[in-house]
Amino acid sequence: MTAAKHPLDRVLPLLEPDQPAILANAAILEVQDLAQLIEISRDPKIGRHLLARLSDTVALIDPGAEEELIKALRAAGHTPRTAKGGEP
Amino acid sequence: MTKSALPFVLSASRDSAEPSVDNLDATRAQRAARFWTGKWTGSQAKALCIERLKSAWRDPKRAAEVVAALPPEHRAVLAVVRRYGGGISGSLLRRELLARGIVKEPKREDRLSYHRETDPVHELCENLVLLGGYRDYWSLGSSRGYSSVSLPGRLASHIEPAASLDWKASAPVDKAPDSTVLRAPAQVLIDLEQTARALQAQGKWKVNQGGALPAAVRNRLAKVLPPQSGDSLEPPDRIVLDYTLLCAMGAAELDEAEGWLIPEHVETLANLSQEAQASMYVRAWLTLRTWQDGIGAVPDRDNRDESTRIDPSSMRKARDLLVWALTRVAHSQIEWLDLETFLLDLYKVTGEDGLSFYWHGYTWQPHFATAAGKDKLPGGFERSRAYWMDDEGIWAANALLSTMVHLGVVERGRSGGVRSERWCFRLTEVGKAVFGAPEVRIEKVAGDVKCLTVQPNHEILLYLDTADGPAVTTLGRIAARESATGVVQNFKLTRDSVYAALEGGMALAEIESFLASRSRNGVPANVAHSLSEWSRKREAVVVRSSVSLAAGLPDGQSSIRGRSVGKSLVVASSRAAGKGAKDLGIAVESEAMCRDWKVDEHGTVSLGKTVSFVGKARLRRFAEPLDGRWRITAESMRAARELGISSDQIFGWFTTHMSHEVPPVLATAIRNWAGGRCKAFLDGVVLLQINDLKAFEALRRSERLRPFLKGALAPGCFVVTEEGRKEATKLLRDLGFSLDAECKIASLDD
Repeated sequence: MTAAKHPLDRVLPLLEPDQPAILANAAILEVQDLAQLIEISRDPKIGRHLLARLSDTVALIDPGAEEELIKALRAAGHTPRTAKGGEP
Repeated sequence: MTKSALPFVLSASRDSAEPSVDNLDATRAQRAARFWTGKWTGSQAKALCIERLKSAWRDPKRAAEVVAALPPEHRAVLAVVRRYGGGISGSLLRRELLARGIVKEPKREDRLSYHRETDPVHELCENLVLLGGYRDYWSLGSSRGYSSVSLPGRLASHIEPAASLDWKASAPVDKAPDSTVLRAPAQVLIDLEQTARALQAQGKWKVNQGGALPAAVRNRLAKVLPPQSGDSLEPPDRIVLDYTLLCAMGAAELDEAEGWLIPEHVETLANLSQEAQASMYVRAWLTLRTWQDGIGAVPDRDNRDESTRIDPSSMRKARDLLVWALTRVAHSQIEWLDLETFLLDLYKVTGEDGLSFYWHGYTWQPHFATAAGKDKLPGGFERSRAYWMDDEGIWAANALLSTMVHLGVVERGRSGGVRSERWCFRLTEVGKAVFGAPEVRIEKVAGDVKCLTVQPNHEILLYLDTADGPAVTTLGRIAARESATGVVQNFKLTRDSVYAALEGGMALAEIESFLASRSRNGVPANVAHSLSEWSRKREAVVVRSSVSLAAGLPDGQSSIRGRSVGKSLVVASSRAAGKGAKDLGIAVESEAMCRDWKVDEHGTVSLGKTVSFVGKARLRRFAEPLDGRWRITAESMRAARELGISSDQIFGWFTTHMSHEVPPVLATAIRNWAGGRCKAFLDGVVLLQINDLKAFEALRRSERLRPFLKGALAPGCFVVTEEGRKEATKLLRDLGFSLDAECKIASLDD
């Protein structure tokens, strides 16, 4: 038996750090469900700014590409809320 | 009911003035000391006099005694200065004192003679009761005037401000005008608010000297701001006027190169009462240097050879005197004032040296009967007045009937046909409060006024006659303006406008509450549904920045507390992450630490000892893992291309992670793989190489060889057609060439 492949493995693989690490001043994208993350990450104009999947609803944004990502999301008809800091 | 208390519109806002004794000469020090402390038989040394003066000034009782002992005309002067908030310009002071009969114009025969003046202002200045304004009291009569004076703070409390002056029109207007134009206060605010919004969208903008807007910025603003109202007397460069007003009111700040908006100052302005807003507009207008009435935007520089604007100090003086006249109008029982009559009266009360400058080419050129045939009039009062009416008078007409109407403080009237046209004006309700302050106040009902209608098609009608500042600014934040004219203006709620408001910090509940409290018909159900739907969609996608991401954490760790977002992944505040990193001995990734990639021509990427997880995540987007290293291949690049990753993005990552240059052939390959295929030719050609450049040139020009050539490849090299090879060989032999030379090829290292 092999583990079932995740639908996002090809487009947005799971983050796999080699050792414990902390990334300061990071930016993440949060969505409501997996389907939405699939839809967003499969759009090349948006997906190019994402680096890895953290979970089915959270992705790591390429550092420094937040503004570009927000522009791309808006251009694709999304209305992303922008927030700062770790609290939801 | 509330009553607003505005300051006198011409009052100076300044810190309490205190006399400076450092520059006093001995004579002045002795005189002032004698005035403040009485006769003194001791030493008259300057230092001792100053000591006595300072001692008297420290005594509040002495200040009251000094004021009480002043002659009535001196106290009247101080009362005028007090009315102006304790500081007044020399030109205004002179007009006030003349109008109140405290001083008189010098007689004609005195104008060209030197004589000792007895002038209350000069005496008060000499005795240091008023500050500034001092000059030699031997003066040439025709140039009599004052410089600015101010009242020391300790004296101000002993003096009541002077009462207002009124205005007497030399000829009344016997009937109301045929048509009138006025702007509601809310309309003025909407325009300013929209200009502020357009400026805010620019982020920072470039400025010329004095904060003037460069043409490129003006053009950008004009594109996003609604079209002009079509009013033929609308101020020239209306957007620049609004911009300069915003700057003068502190809503925008400037340095030498750039300007930027202070949104909270716009908010503060909007929350003032309408008359307080208008008072600020007028006070700001008095100071404008890069926009002039009837002219428009002007540079903040002057040119002796070619006029660029009216001299700013003359302009300030003219504006001061015009406002001074309007403060008098506000205290009179006059309804409509005929424009030409008012200007003639203004000339009479401000004199030849009142409004005094030269300009031509105003945007509105009214024709005044008293200016007609000015050059044919004999020298004297009428001729001077006619010239004044045709220059300074036209400026004042533009300021009154264009600028002041734009600011919402004057209502413009017009009567008669094209040839018999007469203009008149009166102060609006707000204008009366602004110019009549502090005595004239307007009463109004407190509380939120219902000034909107929200329609099911998401359009919002704003009724300017009842709208207030908060309604205008809140609506500007949540809805897009669709029309810019009329008493009822159209706005529209759109997903984008509501999204911008929410992103700007408004909560959905605030928007709903605003519409519900201000709408005359409530909020239609479908509009309420749209609002909550748009808000819900916004919440569905969140871009969260400035977080710390801890990855690969040991199971059960509690040093880094935050929100778990995946297996061994925690999103935490930077403080919590920093503290936890120390406790757990985990490195915080930095850019320097990430600079550990080494790439060769084969596309093999080797990493350093500590692998940055951002670096690894980036590599996974365009390279394949291979024996503990990574390899960039045509296949991996094809996959990256499908993900939308461009070669430029990859080169950007290389810059971050590498300390050496990407091998050029790999860089070319990456560009090729990413879709920008570089074309190449690889096949055989018949090459004719001539080592002697003179011989090469001779053959190039030869008609005999030309039929066998395809062209030239490089200096000294022809490409011969395959079919013409034999003929070319024969011809070259015939011409005596030896065909046994070796092909000369430059080394790749040369």
